[in-house]
Amino acid sequence: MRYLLDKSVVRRCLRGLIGGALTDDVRHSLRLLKTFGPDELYISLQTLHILTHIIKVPQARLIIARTSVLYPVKYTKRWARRLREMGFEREDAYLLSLATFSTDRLKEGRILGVHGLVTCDYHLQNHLLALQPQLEIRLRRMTAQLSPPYNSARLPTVNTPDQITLST
Amino acid sequence: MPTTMTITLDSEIQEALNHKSRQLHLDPETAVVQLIRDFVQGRLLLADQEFAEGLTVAEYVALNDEQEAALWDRWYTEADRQVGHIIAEASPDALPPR
Repeated sequence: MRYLLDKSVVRRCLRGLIGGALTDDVRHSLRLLKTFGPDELYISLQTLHILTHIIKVPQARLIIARTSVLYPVKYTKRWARRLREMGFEREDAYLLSLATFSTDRLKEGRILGVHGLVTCDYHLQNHLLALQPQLEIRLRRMTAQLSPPYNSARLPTVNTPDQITLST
Repeated sequence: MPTTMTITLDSEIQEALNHKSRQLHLDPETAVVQLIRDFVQGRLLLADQEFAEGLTVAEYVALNDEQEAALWDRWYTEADRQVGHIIAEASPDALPPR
């Protein structure tokens, strides 16, 4: 299984690694990081930039070592625009789209998308669940016109860290 | 080859170190060596150490969840300006989630 960690999960991992308060969210985020490997956990380019260029403590490098980068592809922005039309916030729409239309290398990427987006944002999870049937229809309509591998794109699940770690 | 380093502690800190080391069943020197090793290897952070530009570790840890989230939102916007234009290409036989 492949999961994209949003920045709410990554910042909780970092908080735990630097010795911050171990809230439930922090504990479950850390457990996720320890349980899965770099072929299973992905971060966005934006999160990678924060961890490499903005945050200066070595704990950021531990997160980078345990994850891989998910790169957007040519349809990521188009699907994100459609998600925004359906009421998703700009960043949420981009992340959901990235989880659907993305790959693991700049050229000749070996994967298309991930199984799930992991977030501590319950509002995003509920919003996706409420709109899932319409989203599936819109995505199918879009992918029907695309060539491989993009015609196989699937909607990700949206889970919180505890939902992932408790199921493993 | 081990070398010797002399550390000057005030008596209050020395006593606290001895007390804590006894609790942990360590001799004080072993505890100090372990702390130095953790610091050098980056596992132990100092409160005044830089966490990000203009922000120390202590200041970051003191942020509440809302303040921390707002800071990451600002960093995300900055990061997006730097990397938001990058586009990759998946191979035609790239694996979708199953």
